[in-house]
Amino acid sequence: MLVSDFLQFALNGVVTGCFYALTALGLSLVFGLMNIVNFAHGAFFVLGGMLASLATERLGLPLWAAIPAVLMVMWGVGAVIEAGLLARMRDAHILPVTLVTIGLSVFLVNTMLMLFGTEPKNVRTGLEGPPVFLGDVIISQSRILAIGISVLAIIATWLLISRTRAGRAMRAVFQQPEAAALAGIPIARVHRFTFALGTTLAGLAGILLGAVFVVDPSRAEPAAVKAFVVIILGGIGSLPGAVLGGILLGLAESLWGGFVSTGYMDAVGFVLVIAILLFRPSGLLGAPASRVG
Amino acid sequence: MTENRIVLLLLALAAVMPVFIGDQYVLHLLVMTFFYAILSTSLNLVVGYVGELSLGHAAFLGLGAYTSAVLSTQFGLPFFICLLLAGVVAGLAALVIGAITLRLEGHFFVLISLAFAEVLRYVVMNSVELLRGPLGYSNIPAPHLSFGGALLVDFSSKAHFYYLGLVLLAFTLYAAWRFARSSFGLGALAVRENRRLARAVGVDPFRQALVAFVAGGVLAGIAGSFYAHYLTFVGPEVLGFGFTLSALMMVVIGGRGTLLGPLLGAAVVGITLELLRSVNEARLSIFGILLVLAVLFLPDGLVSLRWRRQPGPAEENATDALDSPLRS
Amino acid sequence: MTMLEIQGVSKRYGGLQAVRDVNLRVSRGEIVSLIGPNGAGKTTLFNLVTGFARPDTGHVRLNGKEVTGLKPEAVARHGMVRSFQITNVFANLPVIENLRLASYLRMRGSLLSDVFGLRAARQRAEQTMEEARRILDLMGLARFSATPAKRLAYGQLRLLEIAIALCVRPQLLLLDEPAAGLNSREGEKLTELLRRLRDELGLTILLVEHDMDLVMSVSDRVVVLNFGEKIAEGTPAQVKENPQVIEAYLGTPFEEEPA
Repeated sequence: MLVSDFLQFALNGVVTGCFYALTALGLSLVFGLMNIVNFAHGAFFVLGGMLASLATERLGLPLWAAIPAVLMVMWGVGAVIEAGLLARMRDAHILPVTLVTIGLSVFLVNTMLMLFGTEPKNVRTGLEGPPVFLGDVIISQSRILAIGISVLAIIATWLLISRTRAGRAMRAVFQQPEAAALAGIPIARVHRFTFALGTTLAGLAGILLGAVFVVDPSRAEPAAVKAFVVIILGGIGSLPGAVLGGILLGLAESLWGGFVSTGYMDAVGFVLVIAILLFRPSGLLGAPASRVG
Repeated sequence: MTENRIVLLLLALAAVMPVFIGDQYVLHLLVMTFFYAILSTSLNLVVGYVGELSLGHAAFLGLGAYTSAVLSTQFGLPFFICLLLAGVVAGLAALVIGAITLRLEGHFFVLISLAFAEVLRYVVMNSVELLRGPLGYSNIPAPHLSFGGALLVDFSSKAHFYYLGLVLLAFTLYAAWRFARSSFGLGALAVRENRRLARAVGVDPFRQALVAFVAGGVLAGIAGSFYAHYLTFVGPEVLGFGFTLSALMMVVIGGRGTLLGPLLGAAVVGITLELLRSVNEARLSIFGILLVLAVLFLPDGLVSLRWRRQPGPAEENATDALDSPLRS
Repeated sequence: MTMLEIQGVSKRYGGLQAVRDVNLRVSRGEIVSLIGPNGAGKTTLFNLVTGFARPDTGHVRLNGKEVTGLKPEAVARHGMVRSFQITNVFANLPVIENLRLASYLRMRGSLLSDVFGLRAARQRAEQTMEEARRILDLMGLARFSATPAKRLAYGQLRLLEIAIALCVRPQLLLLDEPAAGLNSREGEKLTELLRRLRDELGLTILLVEHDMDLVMSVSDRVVVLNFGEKIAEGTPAQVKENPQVIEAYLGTPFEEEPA
């Protein structure tokens, strides 16, 4: 009885963990490369879900069409915000930049509330079939789809970073921005690309969340903070760390919520981040040394 | 006219205003403005003078509010004792939290300060037997001022709270002013201008930050106590990010690192909030845009329109470890 | 009377042994110069001694007190103050403000007396500012008192840096290439200044320098580093003749170079 409960919670946790991992992946790129504490990341997460809900529920698009459409919109949103706003602040101190992202987040979340209403929204997947049984453990078809898409997206991102020219440029800017600039890499474009990519990944995570559960603008800020929790857990600048951290957080929350109490579930991440920052600040997979010299 | 004189002038004006204003609603607005001015001045010590972005400031506000609520309703302690203890409790919490978190570098401090405040909020929300959870404390008794058995002020009217708030604000401003003029202010300026050089001449940045953090916490706790007794109700939302955000906006829009800035910010933001009440739905959206615009175009706040204030936190610390959360 | 004792200090950065087992003593009232080719580890040694880096091994003692691995602000409090290789001042502030900030340790009383502005604190502040103005005079920068530091000429900036260090009232002053970028006349004035600091203010000075004229004329002793190790020590005359030192600077003779 207990074992199957454990497995069920664990499985649910892995599903949630995939969403966290996707969101954190996007944020890790932005934070690691652009050194921005982007509080608006959670708003992008919600925006993705909202748009997908709009596309599938109201416009009746099938999921396989809605996802690319929404992702393209998210990419555009990210690029525009970076170009119009963040690019001006590239050399600014952490304080004003963080405040700008907070302001952006407040604006986006509230505007979404105004436009879409306060009810949580759902993304129609078209998978109406019965859930799948793995032994004693249940998993719905939409969750299987969500995990599948997450894995694909993570692999795609990894390939992008490691195999393409754009990815190489990103890595160069991440490791040694001045040298990269001297080598002729267009820093501004790399920043824009990175931010757009991060925004899109967040949006995708939101879509998947909406498919499996619901999306709700009030979850934007917690989502942003959890994404930060994950990258701190996994280690700044480590993409595998973001994925690992995401899964771990999802598991930890789910197991705690299942076995102990649901009231403190959201607090699990905060407690973990406090612990990690105090005892192993570089995170589970992060590089311990500073990146300068 | 110097900044200090303007502050004094404003305080003097505020002292005579109730003679001319009878409208309860306007008085209420002003009382809340005083509250926010105290809160943002307290945050300014941390954000403006030392340059650390603390997103967990509401924790101290909330601790002060709850301390005062509990002590007055459960233990029947008089208001002024509650006020004092609220400051003490908040200050102690700031000491503990600051000692742990201020060792971390900028970005990490931002996040961990938020984490602490949120954990505290969850604890309060879930402590139903001990702290009444989401229901919070209501019917918090009004203060009263007695002397030798005779009741002087019963705080039954808004004007009484108005003057109490004004006195607390004056005290807060005085404390902030003294702090800036002390060697603490000297050290804080040194760290802001050139952290490495500051250390080479003997300034301990951690100690600077901690002192500011505790002072900010004490003042926030006092604001919390005032809030609790004025509104007669506190719930877990008093520990939430909303208050921190408001205070942050006031500090930024008014002008951080100055005495007048948080005052101006509290007034301007407070009034704007009220004016926007008619478009209640869009209020926060406009808020967000205002914050972004303020940071972009008025990075030193409204105060900088009149004076050139001291330059902000140094931007040049390229050799400090960027990824390592631990300060060099 | 030994003021500074560096014993067995080493530091490794990744694959590079920057400083290897360096032993060095500076006596009270001496001016000691630390020389060596670029990359010899001189600035690293400074960093290790003043707390900006942590030694892997060894001890640093100031007046017999252990200061190894202390943070820079603590080292300053113990009486050891350094200047930096790259100009480091409070650029946006006027010169006199730079000195006021540098006098932080002198201004600081108990927290309470500070905060409540008691008379003791005010008197202390006035006295300290008097001293700061005197230091400004000594450096010949009095007429720039109100000038923003970033507007000073390079040579004046270097002098300001020394003034900043002096405001901390150190017993031991560590100067990292104070003559860098100075022309010969400014270099002479610097030599004169260093002598005055030693003779009139009783300071002990350890400096890193490349300017050999300055080194030879002002130093009581010279220590030579190469590849992180001490290779020679002695009076300026002794060190100048030392074959190992010559080799370190000029390299091996042509015939012995590998093919």
